[in-house]
Amino acid sequence: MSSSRTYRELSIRFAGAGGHGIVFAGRWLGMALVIRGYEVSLRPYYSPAQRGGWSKCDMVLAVGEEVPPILDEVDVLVVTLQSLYLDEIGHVRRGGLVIVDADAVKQRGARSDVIELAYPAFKTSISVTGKDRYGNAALIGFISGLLDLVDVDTLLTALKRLGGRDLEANSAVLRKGYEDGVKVREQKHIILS
Amino acid sequence: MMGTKLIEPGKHFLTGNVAVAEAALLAGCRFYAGYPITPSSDLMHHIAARMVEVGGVFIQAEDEIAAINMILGASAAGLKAMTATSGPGFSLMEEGLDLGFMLELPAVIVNVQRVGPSTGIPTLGSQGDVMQAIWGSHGDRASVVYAPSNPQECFSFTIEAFNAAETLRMPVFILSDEFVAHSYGKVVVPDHSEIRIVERRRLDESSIGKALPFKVDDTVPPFAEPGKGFRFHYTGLMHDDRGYPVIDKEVTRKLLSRLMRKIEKHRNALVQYTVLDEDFAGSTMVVVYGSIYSIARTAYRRDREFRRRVAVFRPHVLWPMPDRELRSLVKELGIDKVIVVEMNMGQYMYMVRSALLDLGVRVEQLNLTPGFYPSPNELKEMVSKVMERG
Repeated sequence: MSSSRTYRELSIRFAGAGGHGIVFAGRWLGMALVIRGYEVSLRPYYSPAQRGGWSKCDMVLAVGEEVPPILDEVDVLVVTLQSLYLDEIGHVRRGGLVIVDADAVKQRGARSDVIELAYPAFKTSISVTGKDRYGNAALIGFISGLLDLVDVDTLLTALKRLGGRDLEANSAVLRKGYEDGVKVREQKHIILS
Repeated sequence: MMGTKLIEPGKHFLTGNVAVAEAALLAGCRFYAGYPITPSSDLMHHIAARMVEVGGVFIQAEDEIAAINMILGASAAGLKAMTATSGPGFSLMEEGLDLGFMLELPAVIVNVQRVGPSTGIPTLGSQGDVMQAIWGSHGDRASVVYAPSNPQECFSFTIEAFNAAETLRMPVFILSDEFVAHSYGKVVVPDHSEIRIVERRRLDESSIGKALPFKVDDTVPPFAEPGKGFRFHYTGLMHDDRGYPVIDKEVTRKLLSRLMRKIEKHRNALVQYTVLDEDFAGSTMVVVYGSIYSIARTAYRRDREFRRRVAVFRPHVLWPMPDRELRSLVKELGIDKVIVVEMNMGQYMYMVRSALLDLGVRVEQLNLTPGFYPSPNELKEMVSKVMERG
């Protein structure tokens, strides 16, 4: 394990629209966490729609032995679609963390017993590269920085291992997301217990 | 990973299906024929792309019947061969599979189980094909059936399955399911030099003109490689040492008993199981296998009180069954109740019940609804309820 914080067990659900790179985000973070030394399991889900549906993935990282990604409730929910926010918010454990894309999810604050953060992932992608297609990189960076999960270099190694394209753009957006995550952690003193 | 011919040693993050495909290539598989069917199709997609990188052959067959016969043909030509399918395709392959047992052709058949019978629920997993894999033959044959619980085991069990197929000269089954096939997990690939790869025993060329292809000094005849000059005949009919069809009482008895004896003779090398009994102070054992094992293990690890109340027995290989080992453990641990947890309406339970028949142990079933995986906490509650039934 590197100097990042070590979680004994942590579950994360990613949920978003098809095309947001939700499942790839899960695979990317999962690969990085495997490199970091965690046992990681991840299960993708897709809506029946061939175009324009939703996709989700459930991930559990653990120390020692893998934990199957079948969750009663999640520690962290990452959402980039309004309708999924409303569907999924009830599955977050009390005291858990909800991260939403600030522009995609406008109707927020459904629960007062969770920590909710709005981060403009797709706008960050546009501001860094001029394109919105790297929003998942911004999200991965933001979560990793916020939760002190895994460092940027390991994330970039993971991206290369997965055969990720546009490495320069992804790298720039990832770094920006990571810095933003660290800033929020330090300013808001967010520690997921 | 994709730039190299074989998967590189080190840590990977793969689905069960991709882990099976990569392990097959590493084990020496150079022929794959298959017909797409959910939830096995992505295994086929992956190996279609990768087979050309290792100099092998990939064929999308016109159906599962053609696929199984193609891989038998490739195996008869001396290649390591594999196919993957799911329940309905597995049913279509059954006749060809039995031919493979009769011709003694090594092959690996992956059944990524989904909810059945019939087309059932294609996108959700189950454990409904256990009896079919073990007993699904017309006539007598014994098989080897691996049941991986995670992508890492999909990788290692696939290599073992190829080794078993080559050693025993028979089709060998990997019974995974949609859950393990489509979930990602850490897969550690050892240095290639540390991986044991078995090749089938072959007839020495010095015996050309003298050797009979089905004459054995052991239970498994050496393989007569085509193109070398050996004379042989393949038939699904009862055959003698030359491979020629005969109707003869002694030949029939000898061949059938040898085909069955292959498994018994290699049983100790094939049988693998895991026992969880730390903190155990109770009298109940849970028998669980495949992807459900990973759920049961997490439930077990999380709750000390649960660990005190139950021991867990998990066969890695469903057949040959670790029945002697199970019996010994039941006696040793003072078990009076065994709960067989499986995602079907009760299949392996009958084999467990049969294995423990004379021990006075109560064997109960906990049948999970196919397709709907309980969380570790839910599974623990279900087991507890069965325990409370007295």
